[in-house]
Amino acid sequence: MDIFHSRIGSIHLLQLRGRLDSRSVEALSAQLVPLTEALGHQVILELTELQSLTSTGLRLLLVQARKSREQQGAFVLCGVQGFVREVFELSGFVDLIPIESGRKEAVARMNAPG
Amino acid sequence: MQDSEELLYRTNDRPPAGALAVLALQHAALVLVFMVYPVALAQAIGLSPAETGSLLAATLFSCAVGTLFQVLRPPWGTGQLGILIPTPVMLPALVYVGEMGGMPLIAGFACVLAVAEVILARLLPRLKACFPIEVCGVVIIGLGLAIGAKALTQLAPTTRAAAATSLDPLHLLVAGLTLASVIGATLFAGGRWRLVAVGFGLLVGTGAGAALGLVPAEELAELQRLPWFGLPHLHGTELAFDASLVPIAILLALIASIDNLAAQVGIQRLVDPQWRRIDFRQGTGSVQANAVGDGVAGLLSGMPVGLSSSHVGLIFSTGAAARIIAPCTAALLGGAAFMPKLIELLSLIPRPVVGALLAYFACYLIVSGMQLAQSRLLSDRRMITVGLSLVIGLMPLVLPGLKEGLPTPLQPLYESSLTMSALAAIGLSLLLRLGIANRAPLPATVDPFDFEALSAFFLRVGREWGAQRELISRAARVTGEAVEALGLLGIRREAIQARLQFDEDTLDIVLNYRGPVLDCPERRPVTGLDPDEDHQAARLAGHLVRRSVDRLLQSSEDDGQRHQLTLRFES
Repeated sequence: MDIFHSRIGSIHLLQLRGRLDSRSVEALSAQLVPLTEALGHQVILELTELQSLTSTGLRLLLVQARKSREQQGAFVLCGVQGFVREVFELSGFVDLIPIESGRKEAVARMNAPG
Repeated sequence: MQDSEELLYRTNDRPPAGALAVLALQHAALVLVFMVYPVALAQAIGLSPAETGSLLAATLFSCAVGTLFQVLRPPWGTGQLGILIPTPVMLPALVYVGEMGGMPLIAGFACVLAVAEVILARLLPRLKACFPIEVCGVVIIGLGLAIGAKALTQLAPTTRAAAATSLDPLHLLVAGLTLASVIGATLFAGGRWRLVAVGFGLLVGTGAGAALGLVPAEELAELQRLPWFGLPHLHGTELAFDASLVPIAILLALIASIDNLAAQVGIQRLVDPQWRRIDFRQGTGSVQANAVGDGVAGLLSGMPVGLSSSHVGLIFSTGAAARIIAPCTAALLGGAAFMPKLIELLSLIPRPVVGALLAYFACYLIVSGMQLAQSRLLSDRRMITVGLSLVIGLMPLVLPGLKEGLPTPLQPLYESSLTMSALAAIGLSLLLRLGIANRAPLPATVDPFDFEALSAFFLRVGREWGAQRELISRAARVTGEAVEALGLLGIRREAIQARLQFDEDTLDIVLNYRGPVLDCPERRPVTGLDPDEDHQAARLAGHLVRRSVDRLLQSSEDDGQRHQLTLRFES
């Protein structure tokens, strides 16, 4: 899996391409954990080019979403579609992790007051 | 390619009266165009005008009755719209039979044909293995090519198209105007104009042809002489039989049944968006309904009939597959038998107009067949089956003279490019399938935890089996999830064995493993997931696996230490 890290102002944007499973979860964890440990962080994960993910990948995203709340940060997913969307819906995670339709909407959510 | 979602009128819809009338008129008019075949038969065996009229009327009744039976639900018919016409595949054999013993022998031959078709209809489901998806694709392409070839022969200035050295510019002009009218109505007017596009093209083309002198004056004079209405003179049930013709009748019944099934495939694929394989119940019903039509032809001294591939093209192009069109068309055909002027009028439609319409129908069928042939993963074997059978199907078109060198009983086989390509596809499919096992164990060199390697193996095997691309892709993803779940339970690669099993209907992934059993709950596990609990994550994965397959089977042995997990995917 490829991970592209960029910034939109103070927001960290991570674009994932490929498959998030037990083999690639370590690489994502290595990039994501330092970001979500910072107080008041803002992180967007764009999954538009993610072809599939397994329950291992889901677990990492849930863990990071919880940690983000604990750190009073913001952690949002966007571009969740196709088979990836199906996995989120089957697992019920679509209600547990903030998801926006696209990058623009995710950024707007980050910048919204309160 | 349109699918059922793009149909304007589905099988059980009832179009408004106006649309229904237009659709039935188009179908009936197209049947009347094909009355050229009984006319050709009559001319070939020297029938008098009165006998020719009787032949035409009897054939119209046969088409009407056969069309009515087609629309009856299985097991009597197909429950789908399908129109019967005098079938050109029979023509050479019928000329041979007619020269032997006149119309009584043709009538007796038609009765034997009907009996043979009833028997063949019962045997059709046993042919399931002969019709994998790529063969069905070839058959539909073959339908389109056969119609396309007919279309081109209509452009020739005489009926001996093979001898043509040039094309009449007037013929080309009329054909072009017809085609432009139909395409214009379909593409640019759009919407409900699709329903009348063919009729519109027919009117424009015929008008242009008449204005440009393509309708001979003497035929117009004959048309003037005929009354609009008149009782058909049917010669009745004078039957003769000759035992030496029985093998030919059986062979022709087989060819007609294959042609019939080919047209049925086109109809089934159009009306069912979930279509995956031939519905042989409908196939049996279709051949049976055809047999009824042939039986009526025998009793009334008409020409045997067959399911019209051109009408399949008309259904595709109009997007109207409503069953109700069939009885309306049958009523018009029955009524047409009482209208000698109408029959004559439709026989005057210039050949280039017919050619343009057939070319239009061919477009839809050829593309539909190509899509179908490529809907499954293609291995070298399947590509050879598809490609070579289409080339063989071209033989009657490119080398028509070879027919004369064949033994008489085999000549009907060479009559139709559709039959040749269908038989070649069936034969090649069976031949090249030899040696392909339907089980594939995961090699020891492929790590089931390596999704890329696993996916590549699935793809390779899927190609060999001609499985659907989407099915293989989904199976690989879910298997990857299942294996990962086993990994969360601490089960290592060495403890897992996997194999794939495939038939045309189902793909099974069978995982055998040692260790704790993988729980695959029906209900979603509680969402308060403890991130450090691998067993909880494995339960969630098990739930995802169960929700992603069509069926999940689990069993255990050796005091609960060895387990088998079967993931079933249905195509």
